[in-house]
Amino acid sequence: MNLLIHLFIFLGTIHFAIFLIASTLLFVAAGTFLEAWSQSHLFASRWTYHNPLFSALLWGYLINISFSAIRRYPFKKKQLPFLTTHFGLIMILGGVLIKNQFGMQGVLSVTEGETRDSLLLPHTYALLVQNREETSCFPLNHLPPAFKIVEWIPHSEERLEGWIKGEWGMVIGLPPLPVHAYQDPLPLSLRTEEYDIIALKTDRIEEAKQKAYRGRPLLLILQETNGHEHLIAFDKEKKTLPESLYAVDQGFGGYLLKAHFADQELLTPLTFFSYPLPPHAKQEELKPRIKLLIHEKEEIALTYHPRGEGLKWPMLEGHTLVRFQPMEKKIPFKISYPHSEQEGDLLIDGQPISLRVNHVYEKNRYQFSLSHFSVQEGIKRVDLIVNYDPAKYLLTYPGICLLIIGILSFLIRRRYAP
Amino acid sequence: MLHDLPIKWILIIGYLLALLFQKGRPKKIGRGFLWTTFLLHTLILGLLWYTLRRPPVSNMGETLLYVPWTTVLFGLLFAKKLKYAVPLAALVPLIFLPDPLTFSPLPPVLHAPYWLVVHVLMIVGSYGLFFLTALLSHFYLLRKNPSPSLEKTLMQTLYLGTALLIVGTLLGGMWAQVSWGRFWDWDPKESWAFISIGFYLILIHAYRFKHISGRGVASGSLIGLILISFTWYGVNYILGTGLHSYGFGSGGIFLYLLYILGEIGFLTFANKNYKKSLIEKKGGK
Repeated sequence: MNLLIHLFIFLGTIHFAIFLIASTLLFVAAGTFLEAWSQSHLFASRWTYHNPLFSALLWGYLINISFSAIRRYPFKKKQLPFLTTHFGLIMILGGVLIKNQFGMQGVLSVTEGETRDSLLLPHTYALLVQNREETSCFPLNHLPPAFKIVEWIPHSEERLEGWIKGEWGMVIGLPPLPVHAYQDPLPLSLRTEEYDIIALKTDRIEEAKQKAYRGRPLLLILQETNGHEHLIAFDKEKKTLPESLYAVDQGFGGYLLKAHFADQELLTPLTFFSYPLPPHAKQEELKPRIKLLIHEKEEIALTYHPRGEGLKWPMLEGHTLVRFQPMEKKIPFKISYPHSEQEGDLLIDGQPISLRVNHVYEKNRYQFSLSHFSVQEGIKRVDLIVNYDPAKYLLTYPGICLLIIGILSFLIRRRYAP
Repeated sequence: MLHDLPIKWILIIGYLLALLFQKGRPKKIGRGFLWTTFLLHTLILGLLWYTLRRPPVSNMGETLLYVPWTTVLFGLLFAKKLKYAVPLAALVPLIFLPDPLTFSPLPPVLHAPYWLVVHVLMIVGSYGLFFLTALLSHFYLLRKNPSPSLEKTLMQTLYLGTALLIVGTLLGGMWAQVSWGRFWDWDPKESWAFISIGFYLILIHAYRFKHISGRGVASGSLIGLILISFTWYGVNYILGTGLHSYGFGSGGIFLYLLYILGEIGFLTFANKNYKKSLIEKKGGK
C-alpha cells in the first residue's frame, strides 16, 4: 500500500512532469533531424511520433496531470488557473488519444463524372479481394486464412506484358514467336501466307521501323528495355497503318489486347510481372512487393499501388481478383465530381459544395479539404483529404479554449515568484 | 522596395542614437530618438500592411522587420518597471535590420488573412519577446547582485512570451485543420514550436517549484532563445523540410553557428564568474 501511495505521489510530481517533457522534446527533436536526413516524414514518424514509446509518453502526461490535480484536492480558488490550464491539457490529450484510436484520415480521389464513397488510408498495406459476391479490403496482418504472405520485398515495380512475354511473342492462335535482338537485316519471327511478323527487343525504334518492310504486309512488335511496347503495321504499299489496338477488360477473366491487322483480329492476354528494385531512400515512395500463396497451391507476386488504381489480377481460375493497395474505408457519404469549371465544386450526397484552399466543408465530424487537382488526358481529378475526428468538438477544441483561458488567468494573476 | 530605400538605415541610425544617448545627461534625447524611431518603424509596418493587404510576416525577410518591432514594443511596455529594458530592446533592431529585407507574393496556402493575423503575429511576436527575455538574461547573468525587479521582469517576459507562443501554436493547429485537413502532424515547424514551448515550460515549472533560481531561468532563457531561433530560422534554412516550405531559404548558417558558440561561451564565462564570486564571498566571510 505504501508503495502504491509513493507511486501515486511520484506520478503527480513536477519531477515526473519534467522528465516527460524533456523526453518528449528529445523524441521530437530527433524526429525533425531524422526527417531532414531521410527527407521522409514517414521514416521519422515510424521511429519517433508513431513509436509506442511516444504514445506511452502521452499516456504519462495524462497520468501526471491528472494525479497532480487530484493531489491538490480539495481545490482552492487560487488554484483556478492551474486547474483550468491542466484540465484543458487533459482534454486536448484525451482528444488526441481518441483521434488516434477511433479517428481516420484518408485520401479520396474522384474523377469527373464519378461518385465514390470510400477513401484510402495512405501508407497502409491491404489486399483488395473481389469475388463474384463481394469486394473486401483486408489489412495485411488480417488476411483470410487461405492467403499467406510468403515473401516481402521493400521496393518493386510492376510491368505489364502485352505482345512480348519474356523471350517470346505471344499471339493467340499462333505458335510462340521468337523475339530477336536488333540486327541487320531484321530476322523474321513468323511468315504466314498473308503477312510477316517481326518481334524485337530494342531501343532503336525508328531504325527498326525503317528497315522492317520487305514488300509484304508486316506486323512489327517492338519492346524497349524499359518495357514499353510498340505495335506497328505495314500494308502492301509500305504505308504505316494507324494502329488499331485496344484493351478489353474481361472481368474475372483478366484482360486482353486486341489488334486488327490484315483483316484479322490478333489477340494476346495482358499479363504482368513484378520485379524487385533497390529500396528507394524516401519511404513515402516505396512500393513493396508481396508474394502470396493462396490455398497452399497458387502463387502470385503483387506490387503495391499507393493510389489503389492498378489493375486487379485474376486468381483461383478466375474466381477472384486481387490488388495490393492501401486500406480502403467506407464513409457515410457519396462524393460526386460533376462537370464543372471550378476544380473544387463537388456534390456530397447530392448537395453542391465548393472546396478551396483554406476553405473546407464539414459534415457529421467528417471534414473534407482540397488536396490536389490534376488533369490527365483531359480527365479532371480531385484529391480530397477526409478527416474524421470524433473528439474534436467534445474534447480537443474545448480543451484549447480552457487552456487559453487558464493561461490568461495566470497572466492576470501576475504571480511570477515561486 | 524597402531594401532599396534608405528608410531601413534611418531606422538603424535612429535606434543606434537611442542607444548611444541612454547614458548620462542627454537621456531625454535618447528616449526621444527611440520613440521617434519606433513610431517610424510602426508607420513602415502599417504602410506595408496596407500596401500588401496583409500583415508583413509571411517570410523571413518580412519577419526581420516585425520581430525587432515587437522587441522594442515590449521593451517600452516594460520600461516603467525596468529602465534598461528599453535600451536593451533597441539592440535587437540593430541586429536584424541590416539583413536584407525581402518581400514575395503570398503563397495560396497563406491566403487566410484572419489566421495569418492571429497565428503568425502571435508566434512571431513571441519571438520578439523572447529576444527581450534573452537580453535581460544576459544583463542578469553579468551582474553580481541582480535586482529582484530584474528577475521579476525576466519572468514576466518569459510568461508572456510562452503564453503567446502556446496560444499562437494552438491557433496554428486550428488553421492547419482548415488548410491541410489535420490539426497536428509533427511537421518540423510544429515540432520546433513544441520543443520551444516545452523547454520554456520546464523553466517556468522548475522555477515555480524552486528547483532553479532566477540565475537558472536566465541561463535557460539563453538556451530557449537558441531553440526559438532554430524554430524561426533553422527549420527553414537548415532542415529545409516539411509543409512550411514557402518559408525555405539558404545562407547564414555560419553566422548562426557563431551565435550559438558565442552564447555557449557567454554562459560558460558567466557561470565561471558567478562561481568565482561565490568563492570570494565565502572567503570574505
